[in-house]
Amino acid sequence: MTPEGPWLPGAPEEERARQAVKSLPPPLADPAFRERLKAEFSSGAILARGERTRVAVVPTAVPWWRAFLSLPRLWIPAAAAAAAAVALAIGMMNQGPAWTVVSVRGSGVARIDGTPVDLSAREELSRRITPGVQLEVPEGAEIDLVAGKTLAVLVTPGTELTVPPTPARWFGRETDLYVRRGILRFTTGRDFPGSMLCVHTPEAMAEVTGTTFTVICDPEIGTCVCVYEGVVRVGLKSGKDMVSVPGGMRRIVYNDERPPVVREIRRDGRVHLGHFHEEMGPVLK
Amino acid sequence: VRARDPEALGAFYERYFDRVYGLAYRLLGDRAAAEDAAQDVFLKMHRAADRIDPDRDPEPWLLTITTNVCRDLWRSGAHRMSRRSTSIDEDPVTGGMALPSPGKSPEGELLASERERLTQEAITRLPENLREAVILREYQGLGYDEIARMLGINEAAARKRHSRALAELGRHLKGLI
Repeated sequence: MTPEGPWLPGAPEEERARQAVKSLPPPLADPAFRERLKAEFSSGAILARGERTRVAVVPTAVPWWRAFLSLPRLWIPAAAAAAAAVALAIGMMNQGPAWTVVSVRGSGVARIDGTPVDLSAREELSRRITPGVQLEVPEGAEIDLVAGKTLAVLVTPGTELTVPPTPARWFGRETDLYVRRGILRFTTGRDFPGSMLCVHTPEAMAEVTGTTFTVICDPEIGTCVCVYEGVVRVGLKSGKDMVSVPGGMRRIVYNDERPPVVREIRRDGRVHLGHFHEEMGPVLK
Repeated sequence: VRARDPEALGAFYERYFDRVYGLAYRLLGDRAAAEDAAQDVFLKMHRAADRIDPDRDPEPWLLTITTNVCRDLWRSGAHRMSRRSTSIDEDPVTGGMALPSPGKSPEGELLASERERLTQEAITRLPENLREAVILREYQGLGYDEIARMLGINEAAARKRHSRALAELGRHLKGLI
């Protein structure tokens, strides 16, 4: 049995890929190369790569621009400045979309990094919900957050989380969300493929590459991850015992000695996720 | 080996060459680059021979050096140029070498070789960090803790990279194998 256990129906391609890599035969080196290197290694005559292919250079007339490039004092600072500017521009263009509050249901006062913000002040809320802040949603209210066409999260009453950076455009597309208690529903959008979201709770971790699912973090019991469609890998917070949970199933990771279990998702959970998926579908397309 | 005795170095080489070359080949995807990498690894090994701890298995250290050398190589223009030139006259996967598979029919041989070619191509298309994770885990059979130590990352990150690599490989190979 694989470490993922029996829950692999959603990822047969991954299992096939794993087997294909595992069964790659050892490549044969060219016997002449092998013997030559052995002789050089044993005798101490082995050479560095740069020393292996020395080419005689015939001096020729040097054009002015080559002469300029040969003066390190001039072009090194210029090249460094240009590289820094390009890196800065790429870094800015690579940034993922900002979080937007698309709707708030109910009323009350949320706490953002400990600062109370009235839920009726939508602009203030949107301005303050940025990556890295601690968000506490009061009982009796819920917030829909959307990051461009990438990801939508419904934060239900009484949930506490750290708002994650949104997945970047080209590189750095992995993002981590930390939830201490409460219920979060997620659905991924058009621009999510190629990204990975890791949801961490006090006892569990879920890895997502594109799907609709709920994370229920109950300090009394543990964490339950309910998957509506696609596959979510769920395991212990250490990253061990990761299991692929397919659509229609949930995995519960207890915060006591009991081993995690996989069950079918409850009907009400499926209905909530279905509504959220339908509601957010047009927003994320 | 610490005294750089030629006979001991020869025995050391015989013991570890296949592991080093095999890892380099699977990471880089072509023979010329794998040969360059193997040569660099054994050069570094030769230079550090007097610092080898006789009580410890040198294999993890050798595999770490191999991974680092491969990383340097594929970031260098030399590797890209060598890939371009070898692709003209060589099979990019086997590097022109026949891979032995005793007991297989010609058809079976052909299928296995095609499967290997597609798999290696898909591996070569992975970003380097994912490629390292999947090769070290599935091809070299290392644990996540060993991979994490070798790559200088934590265990959870090693698992994550491995999982992403499999997902991407699965996508690349879908319908092909």
